[in-house]
Amino acid sequence: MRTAQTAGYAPDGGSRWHRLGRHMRRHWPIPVILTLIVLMMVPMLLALFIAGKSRAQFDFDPWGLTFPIYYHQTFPAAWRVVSQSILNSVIVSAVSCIGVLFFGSLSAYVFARFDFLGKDTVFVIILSLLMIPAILTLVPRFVVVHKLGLFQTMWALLLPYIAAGQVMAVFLMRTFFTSIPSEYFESARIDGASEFRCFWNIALPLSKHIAGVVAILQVLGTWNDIFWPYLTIGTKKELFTIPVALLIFNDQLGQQIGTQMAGYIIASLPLVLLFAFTSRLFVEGLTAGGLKL
Amino acid sequence: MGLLKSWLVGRFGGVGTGQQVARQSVGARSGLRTRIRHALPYYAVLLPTLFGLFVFDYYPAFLAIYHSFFEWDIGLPATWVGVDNFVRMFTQDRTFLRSLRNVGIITVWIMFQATVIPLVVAELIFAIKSIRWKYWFRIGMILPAIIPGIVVFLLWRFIYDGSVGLLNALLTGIGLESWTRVWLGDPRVAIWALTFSGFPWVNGVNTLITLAGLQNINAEILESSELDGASRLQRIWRLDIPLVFGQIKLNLVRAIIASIQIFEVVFVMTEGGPIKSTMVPGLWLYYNAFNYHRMGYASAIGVFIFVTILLLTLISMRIFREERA
Repeated sequence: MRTAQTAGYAPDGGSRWHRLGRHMRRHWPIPVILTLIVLMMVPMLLALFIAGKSRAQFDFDPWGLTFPIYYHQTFPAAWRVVSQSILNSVIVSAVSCIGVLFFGSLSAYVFARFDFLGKDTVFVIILSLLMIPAILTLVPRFVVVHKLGLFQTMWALLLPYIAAGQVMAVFLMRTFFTSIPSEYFESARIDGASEFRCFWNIALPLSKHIAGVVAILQVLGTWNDIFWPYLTIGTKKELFTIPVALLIFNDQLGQQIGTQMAGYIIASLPLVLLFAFTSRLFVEGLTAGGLKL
Repeated sequence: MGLLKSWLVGRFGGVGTGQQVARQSVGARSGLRTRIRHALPYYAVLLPTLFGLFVFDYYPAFLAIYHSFFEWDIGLPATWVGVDNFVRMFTQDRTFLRSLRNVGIITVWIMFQATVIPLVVAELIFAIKSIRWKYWFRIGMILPAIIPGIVVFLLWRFIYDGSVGLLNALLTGIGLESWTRVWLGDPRVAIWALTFSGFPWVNGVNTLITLAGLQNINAEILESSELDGASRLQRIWRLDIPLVFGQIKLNLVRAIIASIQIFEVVFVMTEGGPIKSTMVPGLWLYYNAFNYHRMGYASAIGVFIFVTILLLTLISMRIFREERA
């Protein structure tokens, strides 16, 4: 037993230091990457650290450990300030995500499965939007939203988000739908299924993976968007999304730095939670290898 | 059975073959009308998508380009001025010229940050043999990327803070008290502080895209290079970089598109100040439109950004294609 273990640890002998040296030569990237990831998380760790401090503690000793830790005060205080905007952001992200998936997949299905007059032209016209930077359309889109009477309503966020999100959705899902063997649909049609049922019961269930990627992209995009809600929601506090709330309340909370930091963490948590359940999908989507120019 | 199937498929708009049969069977002139009638149901399904895109994307894009040739202050009638807006940008608007310099600095840095650093980090992860570590590192790369941008920007504003910031505290801690300053409040330093925020500048998404390219390289090629006695650096230079060039190019183009129109980070961290020293074209567009109500001029800046992105994208794709050949 004992000899077997020793043999396993040191197949060709050598002292403990030699083994360690060999180990380091083989595995040196691991500590390097670990350090990098910790450094990447420094801002968040900083927020978590400061969030535990009362104002007096921060003034007196900002960078040392101070006790007691005031999480039980800072987090509820921050929650009271940002809870409404978290709810708004959840609604905006969820509704626009569902809208993009529904209309986007329907259109992608039509582009993938049928042939009709002008199809390729229309498809290229839609894809050409990927070339137009958001900054170009920012001001006129605001004018349009204003003229439609959507200013300071949730629709000012939802409708443009759903419209813009569909470009990527149509592009990604069309590619996927084209790859489904057409025999699936043909046999369903012979069995009497309507075209909508083919879409709903065959195409959609098969495309869970790519739909997940589209959904994550949409949620990330809408949750993180700072400027469009800042412009269109204006001063209407009850409609603030989370980035607007942080931006506006930041100055009000400036005196209470612990609460401010707690607010940052609360604002990040929903995405972290979402990521915890979808990380595999997300990482695989990025590393599947199809992404290149 | 096969005949019945193809008829059904053709009758109910199946997959191409049926369509071609239908097209051949009708004459050329009535064909067009039939084809239009045939296409209508599909356009009915596409209508919500097309309508939304028209109202919120195509029409605004058209408006932006159209208005860039007008002097149009909100509330006043627009007057046609030709290319005056563009001329004024480069001859009279010193803030705009300053913003060009700033966006140049930022773009060069982001292009480096989006291509070279991800390649190095991806090579490091690629060199790790343990599958479990690799898996967790991939997740660790993405985790910082899902923190909302606004939180990251505000935290960096705090790190750079002159009186309570972490950076000054660190410098004081290691005895470099003379280096401390109000990082975002000094006109000479602010743009550099802004550009180099986000230490250690690892873009997780780009790293994973590059890593995917590395993992797709045929293992036999790498093994044979090892057998031929190529060093690790030789292998990276001669094999890996050419083979993941598609991924690097994607990262580069994404970086160009994002950095030329960058303005949210500037707006949150400095609002373009102090004394407009960190102004970028995107933010200058916003100020012109919403603070000075010069809509025509703002549109012209937007068109300039659009054309710049288009040209830089095309140029970089052309250059790198030739270099590779």
